[in-house]
Amino acid sequence: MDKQVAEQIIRSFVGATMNVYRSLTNTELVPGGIEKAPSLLFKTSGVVILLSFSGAFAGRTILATSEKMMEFIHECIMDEKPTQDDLLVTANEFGNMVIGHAVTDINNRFRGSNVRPTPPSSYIGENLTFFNFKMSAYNVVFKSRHGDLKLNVALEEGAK
Amino acid sequence: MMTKKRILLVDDSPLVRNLIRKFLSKTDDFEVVGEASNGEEAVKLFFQLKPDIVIMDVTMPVKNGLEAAQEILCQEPGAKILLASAMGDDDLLDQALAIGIKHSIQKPFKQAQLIDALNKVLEE
Amino acid sequence: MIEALSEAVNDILGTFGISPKYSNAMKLESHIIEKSLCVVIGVVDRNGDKKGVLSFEFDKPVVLDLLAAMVPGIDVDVESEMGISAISEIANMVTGKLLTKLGFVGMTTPPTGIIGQNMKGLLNTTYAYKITYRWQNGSMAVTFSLT
Repeated sequence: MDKQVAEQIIRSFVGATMNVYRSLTNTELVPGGIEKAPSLLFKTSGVVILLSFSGAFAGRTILATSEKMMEFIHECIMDEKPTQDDLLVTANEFGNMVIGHAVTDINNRFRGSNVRPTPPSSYIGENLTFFNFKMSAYNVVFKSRHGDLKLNVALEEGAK
Repeated sequence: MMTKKRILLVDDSPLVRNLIRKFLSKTDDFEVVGEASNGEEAVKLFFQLKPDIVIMDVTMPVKNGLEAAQEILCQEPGAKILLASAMGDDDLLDQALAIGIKHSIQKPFKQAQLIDALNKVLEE
Repeated sequence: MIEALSEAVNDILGTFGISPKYSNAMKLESHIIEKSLCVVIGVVDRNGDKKGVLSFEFDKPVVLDLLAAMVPGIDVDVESEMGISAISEIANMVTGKLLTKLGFVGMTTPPTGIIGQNMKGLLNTTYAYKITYRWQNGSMAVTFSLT
């Protein structure tokens, strides 16, 4: 995939994540730079949101953060302390909004690309490893008062 | 005292319904009179409650928001529907317009954005 | 839906000479996964109107059996890239078969393999169809949800 195209897709996800987080929490995420990921394996513990999409551009985006940060997001929306199952639901909905915004932006930037998201999925656990193949991956780390949020975007080689 | 406008909330996410309920409870102009978590419930509740406005999500199980809206508008062409979706691309907006939905809002939204959108629907 | 899913899985396992001794099917309120090794694939039609998720959860003995059938004579670690790549391929094949049987015209997302400890996942908030197959002192669960 062309490097400039990949960067624009990643920026769509960066913008979407910041906008959704700000809307829900009234606080800011500060993004770092886009870095090529050293490997297609993504390892983390805590809460992970997996956003997959297909169309002219296919791939998946991971948003990874701590349970504490997801609790903060949940409390901003629901005014109550969450259970672990609540965290999964909140993460799922957060992911739904991020992919909706990101895909809207991608389809507006690249007319006719018909990129479509599939349902977001959310995970909680320790030593989580996510594997993908024949893709290129990029990292962005966001910093906030309530912790870090890692964005990892993996794109399939070659547009469809 | 001005009567509050009656809102039917339709979204499969309890989080989104809670967020909207929270926003509207802080206003004097709107009140939530019913909630549905899919399009089928939405149609049933619409004809039971006859709300002033329906805030309708798009992607839902059983029946999606566009199908539900179409069913409602077929029987009640004057029904006021505000489409709320995480997606905001032209395809979706075109589909909505074709059914007769003129107003939409992209999730997540601030309280002021929601109130502004609801007032625009009322002005129709 | 369950029938098409069952046929798709049996077709693909059959090509590798695998016949599970036992299977049972159920409908779930939402699409969740709880095993520590799984593969997830998304599906969506061209308009974005219908979208869904397929998940494949594995116990290690079952993966070893699948690897032995796919790459005979080669010792492959279940949690290695090669191991996950192999079961991702099986997941891809089953997904393709299922969509053909359902007449679903659309797109799939690249498969994502996931390993974790004390892992729980929520893949869709709509109801899901799950079939569990048991063999080799372990099980494989295939779950499909469509909005």
